Amino acid sequence: METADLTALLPEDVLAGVLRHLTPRGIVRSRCVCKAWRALIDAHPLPRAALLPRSLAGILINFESLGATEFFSRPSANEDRRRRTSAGERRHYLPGDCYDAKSSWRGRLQDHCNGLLYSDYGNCVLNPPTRWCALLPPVPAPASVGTEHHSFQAGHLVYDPAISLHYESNRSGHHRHVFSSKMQEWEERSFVREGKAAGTTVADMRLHWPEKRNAVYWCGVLYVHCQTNFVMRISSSNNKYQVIKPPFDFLEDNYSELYLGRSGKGVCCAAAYGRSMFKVWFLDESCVRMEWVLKYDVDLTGWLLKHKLEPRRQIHGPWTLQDTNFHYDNKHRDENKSIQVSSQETFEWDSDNEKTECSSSSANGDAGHYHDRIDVLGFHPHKKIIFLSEQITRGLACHLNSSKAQDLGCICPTRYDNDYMHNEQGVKQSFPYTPCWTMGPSTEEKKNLEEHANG
Amino acid sequence: MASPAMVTLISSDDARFEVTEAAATMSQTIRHMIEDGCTDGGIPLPNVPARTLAKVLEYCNKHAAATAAESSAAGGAAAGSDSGSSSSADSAGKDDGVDLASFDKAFVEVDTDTLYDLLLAANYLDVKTLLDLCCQKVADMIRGKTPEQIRQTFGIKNDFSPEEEEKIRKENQWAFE
Repeated sequence: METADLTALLPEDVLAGVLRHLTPRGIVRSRCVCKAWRALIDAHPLPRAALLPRSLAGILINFESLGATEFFSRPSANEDRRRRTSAGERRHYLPGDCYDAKSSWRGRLQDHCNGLLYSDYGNCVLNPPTRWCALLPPVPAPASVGTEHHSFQAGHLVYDPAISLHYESNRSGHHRHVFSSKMQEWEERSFVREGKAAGTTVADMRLHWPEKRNAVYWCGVLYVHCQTNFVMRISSSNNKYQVIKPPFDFLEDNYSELYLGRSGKGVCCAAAYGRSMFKVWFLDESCVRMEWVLKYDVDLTGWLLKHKLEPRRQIHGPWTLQDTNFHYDNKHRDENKSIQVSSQETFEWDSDNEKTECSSSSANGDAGHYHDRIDVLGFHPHKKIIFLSEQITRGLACHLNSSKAQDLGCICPTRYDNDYMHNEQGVKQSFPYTPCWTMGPSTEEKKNLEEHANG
Repeated sequence: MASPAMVTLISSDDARFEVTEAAATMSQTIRHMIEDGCTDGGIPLPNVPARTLAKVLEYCNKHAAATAAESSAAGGAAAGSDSGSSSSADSAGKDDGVDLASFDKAFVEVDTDTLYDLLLAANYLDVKTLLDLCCQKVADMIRGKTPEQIRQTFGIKNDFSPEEEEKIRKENQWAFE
């Protein structure tokens, strides 16, 4: 009698009530118990089904001159999740299709936050796995006249299901417009600066407009990559912000753009320098004045020379680019050229069996010079791995502790081969995507959206 | 003071329970039946057996009494009414905060079968606080367990193939580390 099946005995809503009392970890484990439980968890918007940190599905990349965001990932993951995140399925839930089927715009995503994606152009928030998409009302024109902050704005998404199922969309600037899904409207919030000006003025910060203006939302605080590699630390709880100085002199040193991200339990940033090296800093928030602390300084010259890319050689790696821009194009739509899926890999990051090569920190002098350039694509959300790009050719994964590097695969979009000049090619923005499996933000919104779509 | 209104509840196996209306109406289901005037000859509860109903009513009596003591203590202090009854209610009200928590804790220290029965009854009778209490108890039984241990605890058959299970694990590997 001790072993009567709970699922068989209890009505669905009662069991859902039980699961609602679990921690995210408990919910994830319960998902693994049996099919009925999994279906139940996936069907119910459980407030604490935060599932944080989530698994990495791949990296979203915005390329120069290409309209749609590309997805660089392990193809077997696409196969597994064909119904959830693959290009074919995802396209139908890209914002352009949601409200204007004839729109030539094809879905460029600006931000990612705990599974939700945000698009500036579409002015919408979406979650592909649950087919959820919410259009935001138009952003109001800035109330204050004569300031530059309009051009200063970038949209960022704030969403942490562990805290609230409501999300916020932020337009940064000194006056920020914040859209809250709770209030269903934009409001203008002023933020007061905290701490000293750190030897800079706002004018200095505007000198340079970064391409990779990522933002990180972590523990209720939004970190925004601003001009000249300063980072704004915006706390919504007290409407204050602080400015964090960049870890290097951007104008004098030969560094790439700063990449702001999150790895493990902290905010971090990285920058490539000298073609084949990069540094990683973690943010030390223990003292009043926050500082970047250098954690890794990696030289990949040796590895890169040893694994040099031969011209026109096919790059084989466990990951592929979805090539959305190519497949989406009308001309090629009917060709139905699918990406070759090599399904043999079981790609394990921390597996010792992987053919990873140690980079020798002393570059092999007679192997020649390294002429390409690496840049940062993103951080693994909870492993000590950084993703890099080598020009527009291939993606690399580098284990930070061991400095072991590995080919991920070709990242060059097919469209670049034919249609674009070399100087129009490049990675504009990239961020790791960790899908949110169990839910959209709220059932009401989902319902509204469905009604909107049907009616 | 008028004697409290009583109602009769009839379990699925025809046992009759005489309870105060205050205790009975902790159940939204019964409250609606009373409001609809379906109380003549007792309220039939065809989904709840006597054993479980007795247990649920133990919970309702305790909580209804605590609520009544609390409100009459507050009312007595404000209105300065009948001194004898208000002082006794006062002392009862003070104890009940701590008392109720330990009562709740002890109340769900039961075997799994009884807990299921309570869950089902609390759901059917719509006694929200009891439902929450039982859900929390079951959740506590799940907490910290591996999927296999959860299956063992609740007698659930694993209907995933090893490949499927591996795939689900991978989706959220962090939870198993």
